[in-house]
Formats: sequence, C-alpha cells, structure tokens
Amino acid sequence: MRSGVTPDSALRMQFRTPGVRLLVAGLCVNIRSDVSAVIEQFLQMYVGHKLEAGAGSDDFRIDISYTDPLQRLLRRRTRLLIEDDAPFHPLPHRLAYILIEAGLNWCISATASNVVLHAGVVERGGVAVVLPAPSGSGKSTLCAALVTRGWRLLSDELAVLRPADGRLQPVARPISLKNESIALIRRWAPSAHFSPVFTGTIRGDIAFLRPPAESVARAAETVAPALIVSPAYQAAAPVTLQPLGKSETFRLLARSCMDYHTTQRCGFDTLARMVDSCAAYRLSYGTLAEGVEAMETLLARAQTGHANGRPATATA
Amino acid sequence: MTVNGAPAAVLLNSLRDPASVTCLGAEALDDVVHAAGQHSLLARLEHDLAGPGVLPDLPEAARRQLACARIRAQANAVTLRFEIDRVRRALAGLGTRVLLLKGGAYLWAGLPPARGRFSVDLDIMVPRADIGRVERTLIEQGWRAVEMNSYDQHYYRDWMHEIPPLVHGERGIALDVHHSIFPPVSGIAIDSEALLADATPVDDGLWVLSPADMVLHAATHLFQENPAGHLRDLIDLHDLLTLFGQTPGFWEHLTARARRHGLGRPLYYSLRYATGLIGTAVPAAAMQRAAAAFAPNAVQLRVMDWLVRTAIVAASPGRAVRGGALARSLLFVRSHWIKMPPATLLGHSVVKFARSLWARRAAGKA
Repeated sequence: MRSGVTPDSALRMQFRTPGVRLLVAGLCVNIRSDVSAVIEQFLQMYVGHKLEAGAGSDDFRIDISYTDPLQRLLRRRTRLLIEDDAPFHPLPHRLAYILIEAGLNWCISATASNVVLHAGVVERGGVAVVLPAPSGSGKSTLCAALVTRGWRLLSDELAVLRPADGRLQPVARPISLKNESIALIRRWAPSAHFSPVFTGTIRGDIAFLRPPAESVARAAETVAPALIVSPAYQAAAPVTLQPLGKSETFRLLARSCMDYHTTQRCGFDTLARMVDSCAAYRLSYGTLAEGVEAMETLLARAQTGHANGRPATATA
Repeated sequence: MTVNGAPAAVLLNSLRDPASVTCLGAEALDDVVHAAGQHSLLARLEHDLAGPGVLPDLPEAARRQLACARIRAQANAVTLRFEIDRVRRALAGLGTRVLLLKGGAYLWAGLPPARGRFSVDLDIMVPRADIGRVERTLIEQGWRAVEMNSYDQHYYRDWMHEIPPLVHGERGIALDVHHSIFPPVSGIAIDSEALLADATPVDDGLWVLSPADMVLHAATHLFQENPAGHLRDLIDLHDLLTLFGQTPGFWEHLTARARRHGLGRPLYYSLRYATGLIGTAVPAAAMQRAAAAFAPNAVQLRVMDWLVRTAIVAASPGRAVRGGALARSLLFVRSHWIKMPPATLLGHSVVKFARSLWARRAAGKA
C-alpha cells in the first residue's frame, strides 16, 4: 500500500464476484478480475472515482482473468473478456492492467449513442479544448503537461460528444504515456502519481498517469467544446499556430471520429454543430513548454472573446 | 424443454412476449439485456420492445444499451444494402442469376428476420457453372481473395459449398459466394439447380430462395459453427415459419422439399426447437409428418434435447451449468460430423490440430 491510500479490503474481494462497478463517461461498467496485481494497480489509479460493489444495470461487463486454471497456477497468461467476447489478444500477467484500460476504451468507443472522437480534451476557465490527432502526435503527452499545470482533464484520447446537446462528457481516466514521454512527464511533474512502467508491449513502454483529483471529482460536469486544436509535436520545430477553415476542420473531425459510420446522420450533425461553434487551429511545437504556452495563449484569446466562433487570423 | 430462470430462456420469453419485460426485476432485466447482446439479439429485442411502448419503463443503462444496438443495426443495414448494390452492379452484365442468401435476402426482400439483424458478411449464390466467371469479375471490380494457405483453399474449393471469402479493397464487409447451401463433401445431395430454378425475383434483378428453400437453408445453419449464433438462427427460423406458414400448402411443400434436398433431419430439429423454445405455430399435422419421416431414434433425440437445453438455453457466460462445456463441445463435434464423412473429418481434424500446435509454438517464440 502506497501514498496513504487504503482501499477497503472488502471492495477488493468484490472484484472476484460480483465485480466492482465503475461510473465512467456516463456509463456503468462492471469490472471483474481475479488477478491481484491488477486489482491493486486499478485501485491506485482510480482513487477518487465512484466505485461500488455489485452488478446490475451495467452497460458493460468486463472480466480480466487468467486464461485457464494452469495459467492461474503459473501466474502467466491473462485475458480480457467484454460480454464474454475477447476483443484483444491475451497478455502476460505483468501487463494485465493494460487490458483494463484497453477494455474501458473499447466500452466507451462502442457506445453508439455518443459520438466519440480519437482526441484529447482539456478544459480551463470554462473553455474546453478538443485535441484531435493521430496516435504518435504527442496528444497524451500534451494533455499530461496541461493537467499537471492546472487544466482539467476530460480525456487524453477519447472525446465523448453527446448528440442531444453537443456537450463533452468527461472521462477522467489515467493518461497513457509511452516510451520517452514517461521520463519527460516525470521531469515535468515530479509529484504526479504514475503506475508501474509496463515494458515490452507492442507499443514499447507504457505507464499511466493518475488524473488530477479535481478532474476526477468533476467527472460528471459536461462542457461545451470551444476550441479545436490539432497538435503535432516535432522535435526542435518552431511553434506555429495555423487557423483551420470550416471544411478542413470538419474533415479532421470526421477522420478522428471512431464511430462516424455507425452514427450516420447523427454523427454528421453532431460534428457539424461542433465545427460551427468552435475556432480551430493546427499547432506544431518543438518542446512541451512551448506547446503549453501556445495553449495558454489560445485560452486567453478565447476568454477575451477573440477566438469565439471564428478563426482568428493571427499566428502565435 | 424450458429452463426456468436462465437468461437465455428469459430472453426468448421476452422476444415472444415483449410486454413481459416490465415484470422482470432489475437483475433479471440486466441479465436479459446482456444475454441479448451475447446472442446478437439486442437490436431485435429493442425493435420488438419499441412496438408495444415498453422502452420508457426500463432502467437507463438498459435503454442506452438497446438504443446503441439499434444504432449499430441501422448502420449495418445501410452498409449491407450498399454492398448488395455494389455486388449487383458488378455482376449485372454476366447474365447469371444472383441469389441473395440469409441476412442480405431478408433485408433486400423486406422479410421479418431483417429487423434488428446484424450481418458481418454478405452471402450470395450463383450457378456452379458460373462461379469461375463470377469470381473473376468480382476480382476485376476491386474485390480480393482473403489471404489463405493452400490447405484452406483446398478445403473451400473441393469440399465446401462456397469459394474462399472475398473482401472489397475499400470496404470491410466479406462476400461469400456460394454454389449450394450445404457442403457437397457431406454427402447430402442438395438440388442446387432446383434452388436456382425456383428462386423468387426481388428488386433490381436480384433473387432470393423460394420460401421453403429459405427455411431449409436457415435449418442447415441451426446448431452449426459458433454457439453464440444459435438463438439468432432459431429466431430467423421462427420468423420465416410464422410468415410462410400462412400460405396454403406451405407445410406439405416444405416436407417434400426437405426430402428432395436430403434436409429432413435439420427440418425436423428446426420445427421441434422452434416450437419447443419459442412457441412457433407449427400445425400439428406438419409436426407429425416431419416426425414420422425425419425424427432420429428416441435415444438420439433425448441426447439432442439435452445438448440444446444445456449448451444453448441453460448455459450463459458467468453462469456455469453442469455439463455446459461438454454439451457445447459435443454440438461443435456434431456440426462437423454432419458436414464431412468420417475419414475426411479425421484427416481434417489432424491437420487443424497440428496447425494449432504449430501456431501456439510460433506465438510462444514471439
């Protein structure tokens, strides 16, 4: 047990059966596991989340367990089941925690009543910024840098839009950092709480950063999107901030949308509404500090109303 | 035949009588929704609950899951419709009769099983003599063969009733091109010419199987392949029998047609389990005729009843039932036993087993 967190041992037992319910992104997910290390890591990363024992009225049921009794005995292979289906390959026991995060991503992006973008979302002073970008553009790293400097985390990779009102539903889950980003964020925010580093995954090293307590506490607070910033980290590149036109922004969002084909007309309308109500930029930066500074500039501009509704012509 | 309280049994009951879900406790309702998801029947359940206006009374999570299933099924129908149209255009110039099978047929012909149905692939059937031309034409028009080793090629081309699946380069949905409705290697002599000759024309120059053949095709799928699809297959049969059963002379014709294709046993099981599990209205005379002509002996029948009850209705994830795993394995073995003669099946099993060992070793090294 670390950092003064003493999760209830009764709750720990409930993971085996009937499972523990996590409220996340407006969904209720029943999580079961018989892998003790996974349960410990989960409780460490989900401090402050509403967890309750029991099943019933769940959107999804996920189960992380050893593939068979022999593997349990050897403490080797674990697998994730979502509703009795195995969407991912089994992983060695030491990487099993990754399966929970992958499983929760799967559940959130499979909820077709929302429109889900592959994008980070952060908010400050009521201004929500959606950060759509392909994997490897440094979106999670930038989110981690921002939320350890006072921004609120909604998500580092899933922007959940509610079609009914076009607002963003917070996810407030651990941020997944890969390879060099892990050390970078450790230096950037020495007091932040990290999971162990999971080495040798297909994406190299992965570590999870615990979301700020305030972001978790405000996880039910939806917010309207105000800015769209597509970030691209490029070592030693100069900072550029390029305004994007409406049609280009729409293409960017449609490409990032994970259920664009499933949500059909509703997806189109939701994205169109978002494009109409947000100013959009492409941001390139060469260091984390520059990226954060550019974001703060945009925030200040949005708060004084310059960026509201129309792309500004100025560059940073 | 009923297994009280098992989620799958409650699910079947809810499909039979949608208003009954309002009487379920929160936990039972939750089990039904999850069971429906596992059996690919969630969108179907949503559709049938929406009719009598039961949905607003359900808890929020259940409503959300049902709504999501509806959205996914609607998108799937759009995708499938589009794919059917592409295939139609690609093959229009060949002058060959193109039949839609299963989900594609239900959708294009507007038949009741199409509601809330989710298809992962599109199945079509063409005359065996034209299959080479059809395959070449599709490949010229952007479809490509799914990568496959020579043994699997041989499995499809020499033993099965379809060629290896094709996938369009720009779209995800697989296209299975059939020349029959059951593997020739099984020894069951399907009259494919009659299937094609008696087909029913539908929109845009496409065809579907005649009502009796459509039922028999659905019957060949019962308890085959993946157990997660068994209940859905039974629901398809229920819908088709309920619709076509109203036509005078249908039941006599169905029995005669089953005899002609050598599909008497699958038909008998279909009628037995559709009536027993879902309560499909099959006239007593039709049931007796099928039983007299096609039923197995009493011992075999009891075994089959036990398998169906244990593997499909009683068993469900997170709810272990004594014998559940055994029953599922036996049904799986049975499905192969019917598809292949013993010597072929033995050879095929040896190859598959050796290859699974090899794959496991390769995975272990990686």
